Amino acid sequence: MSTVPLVTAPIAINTHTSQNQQDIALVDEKILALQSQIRGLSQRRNELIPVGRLFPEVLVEIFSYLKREWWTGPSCKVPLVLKLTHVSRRWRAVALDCPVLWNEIFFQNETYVAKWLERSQSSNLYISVEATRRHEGTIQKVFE
Amino acid sequence: MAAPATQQIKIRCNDEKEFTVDRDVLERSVLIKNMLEDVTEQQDAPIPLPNVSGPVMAKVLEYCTHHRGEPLPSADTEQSQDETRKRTTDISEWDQKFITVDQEMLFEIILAANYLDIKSLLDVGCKTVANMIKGKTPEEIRKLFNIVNDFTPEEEAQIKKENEWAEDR
Repeated sequence: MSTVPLVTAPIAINTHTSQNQQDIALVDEKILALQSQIRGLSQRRNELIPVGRLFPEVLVEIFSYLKREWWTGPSCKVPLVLKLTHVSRRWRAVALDCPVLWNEIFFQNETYVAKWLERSQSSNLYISVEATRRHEGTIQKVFE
Repeated sequence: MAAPATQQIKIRCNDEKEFTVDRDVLERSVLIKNMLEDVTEQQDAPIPLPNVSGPVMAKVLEYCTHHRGEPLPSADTEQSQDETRKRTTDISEWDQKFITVDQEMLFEIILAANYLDIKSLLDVGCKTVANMIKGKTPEEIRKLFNIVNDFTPEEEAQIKKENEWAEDR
């Protein structure tokens, strides 16, 4: 019966670690490539489903009915149009490419107002103000 | 005395299904109306509609028959509606019943209304989809329409930031 030697030859630890890191980098690379492939396939899949076949102008028409709607969460209330840009890459691109979806500004905070101003580009603005003195600076910015 | 006979027009869908329909019903479609105006002589050959299938056309014709004789929306009324921003998602009772179909058919009707240029039908379809979206989270909207999340990690990070805007009051 053969016995397993208790003492083996010393391993070149440095070589082993460096080989291991190379292997990890290779696997990471493969993971990234697969993730990108999955994203591509997901996009393709989104084009094939019934809602994916609508032309951008029809999607904009649907979104425009939701322009004045709000989404109410447990701790916040946001315009629904913002949530529409979080559904898929296509919905985001279509909504961001349509300035009139962003031309109604309800004062909330500076970041919000700045983003709406940026996204509405040069379309006519409709502004609703319901503010206290601390919002003065934000209001001033809009009219600048 | 018998009423004057209405002119009947033949159309052919992309699955070879043919329909013979009264001209005034078909003229709810601006596309077909323009086609008919361009034809000077009586034509027996059916009008080809390569972008619409028989079952979808049957639904579209049901809508056009119900609404025959109603005034067609003019560009002016649409513009003034947009300007006053009084766009509601209200749908009449009959239209609501008519558009209660499965999702596949709903989007087919919208595509057909867009192609045939039937503004009022397109509005009914778009309002229906808008009503389905109201109050839902992006995840719920994805689930509803069978959309998969295809954002890159960078876009996900941007979305997370955007969600923080609302919290920052």
